[in-house]
Amino acid sequence: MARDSTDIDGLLRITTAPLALPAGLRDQLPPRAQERRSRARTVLERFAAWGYELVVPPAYEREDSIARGLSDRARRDVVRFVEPASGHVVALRPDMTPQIARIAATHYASRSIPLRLMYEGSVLRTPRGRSRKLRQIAQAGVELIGWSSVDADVEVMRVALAALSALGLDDVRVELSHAAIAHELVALATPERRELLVDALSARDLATISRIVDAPQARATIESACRFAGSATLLDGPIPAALAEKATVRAALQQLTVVAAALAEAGLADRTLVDLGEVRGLGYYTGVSFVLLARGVGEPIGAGGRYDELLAEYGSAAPATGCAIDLELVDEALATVPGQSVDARRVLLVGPSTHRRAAAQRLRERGWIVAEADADQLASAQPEELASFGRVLQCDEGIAFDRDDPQRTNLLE
Amino acid sequence: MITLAIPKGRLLVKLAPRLRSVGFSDDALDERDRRLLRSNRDESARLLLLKPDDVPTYVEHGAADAGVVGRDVLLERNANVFVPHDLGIGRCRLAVAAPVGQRNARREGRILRVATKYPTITTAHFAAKGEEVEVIYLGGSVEIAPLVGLADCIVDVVETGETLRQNGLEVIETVCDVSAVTVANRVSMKLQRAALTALLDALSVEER
Repeated sequence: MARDSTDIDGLLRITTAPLALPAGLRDQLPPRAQERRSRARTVLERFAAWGYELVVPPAYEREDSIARGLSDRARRDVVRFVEPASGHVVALRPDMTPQIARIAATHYASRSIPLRLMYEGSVLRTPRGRSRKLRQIAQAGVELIGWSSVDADVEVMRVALAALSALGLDDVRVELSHAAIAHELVALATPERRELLVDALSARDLATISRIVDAPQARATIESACRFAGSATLLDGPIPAALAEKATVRAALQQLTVVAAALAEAGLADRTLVDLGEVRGLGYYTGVSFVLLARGVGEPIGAGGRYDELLAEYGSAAPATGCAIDLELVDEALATVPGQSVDARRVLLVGPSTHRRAAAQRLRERGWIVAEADADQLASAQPEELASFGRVLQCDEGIAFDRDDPQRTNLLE
Repeated sequence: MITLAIPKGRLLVKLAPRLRSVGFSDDALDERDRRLLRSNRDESARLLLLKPDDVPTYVEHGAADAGVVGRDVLLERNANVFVPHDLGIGRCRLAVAAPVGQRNARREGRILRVATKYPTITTAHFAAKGEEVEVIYLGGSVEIAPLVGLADCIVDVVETGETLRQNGLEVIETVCDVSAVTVANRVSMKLQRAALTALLDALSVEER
């Protein structure tokens, strides 16, 4: 891996490296890849403890199938290609929930006991902002299908918080919002101005909203929704008059109040927030929805909500709710926590190959993690190459000992 | 402590009285000072003095909790942030301008070449009109481009129109109105709502 002879200090030629990854895609390397894997396992174990079962949907499927669960806006950002064998346009999933909805609707139609499915995998998405680059997002999530009660909404939030807690994130906040309210707010603009209003609402940009929405009463409604944000105790107070007119909004507020009370009962009162101006996820959300917020991370580390109409798109109507955790942002949230030290039982074993193979095998049987190398490879190794090993062992004539141990204590005995 | 991203230059001058009202000393607001990071008196907030273009980036990623920026920059960056207040200062507009008398400067058989510091906005503006244009990105002094034949017209900020006049250009159409706004990181706003709202409200109050 010597540097090319054209590489001169202080000189740079801009070229596209032939081996460079597509923008937004990254290799996960040791030790982070291992760390990510074990965090994902912890999350799935917590999900499993609440009765969720693992499903593994394919990385891509027919675009017209995935798109049934996406907003027009989300559809625009999907990476698609033509599958040579069938000629079908297929899409790399930007979201796993539509896939789980399809699985539930096709494999598990008509059940009495709610279906609990969990998943882990990556999705490809172009998040707004962050210079609109495609991003591969590692996710783990749950979907709770066939239960319309707020008990289901609360369960999904508690499962997600429990999983994050198991990772050491004990102070994650859950912020409640409601898709029915969001839909009502957006409908206050004339149809051709709704996309503009979604953007302005998303930014809580009241100055721009006042230019988009002409009717003073409609503006008042939007403003009171945007100001209805903060601690969930707001839900115990009076409903602003501008919001109380519509029956759908009153019903939505009632649901949010019940959810907040249940979270408070679970000891989560201090960690529950509300924001009625949230218009995230208009694609398929229909009811109570939420984001999970961690200090020091500029984006929600998880999000979820109720989507009672999505399964019908796949041929079998059922109420459902779910949540996905962004594992990369979890890494970011945990970055302040000191990293794990190298496992002392992870060793590099050096010695003549015939002895080495047998010694390595016996060490592995005793629970050591053993990587093998030749003596001359060790001799020319850079210090950083040894950083991932707890120690270096040497073997010779039926003994294996720590290279730094003058006593040559035999570790095989 | 709240971290505020504030653009250096014209906007800082206009914001200075409001920043003083939330406890930043004249010292902390002195542009000649080379420190890029300054705190207010009770250390409840600190300022990052940045290039205007960088403000949305800092706020979107959460490296700053909030900031002040022009709508032109915000739109160009398409940043996913909250916009709690329009400050009503730094008012101007983004406009298409061309050499006087050449508003139909499109040459036969060639697409219109537009020089600008705002490629995203320019592309969106002409796309919305269904016009195909070639956008030429420039870092500044955009007015020169049509004079030397690099472009047929420009999209740039117009305040009084004086720069355009002096360079023999005139406004053809407005792209959008611009003014300074407060911005806030989406998560910071939710997790530190009381403190951030108080600070941004104070910044949005017009000084007497």
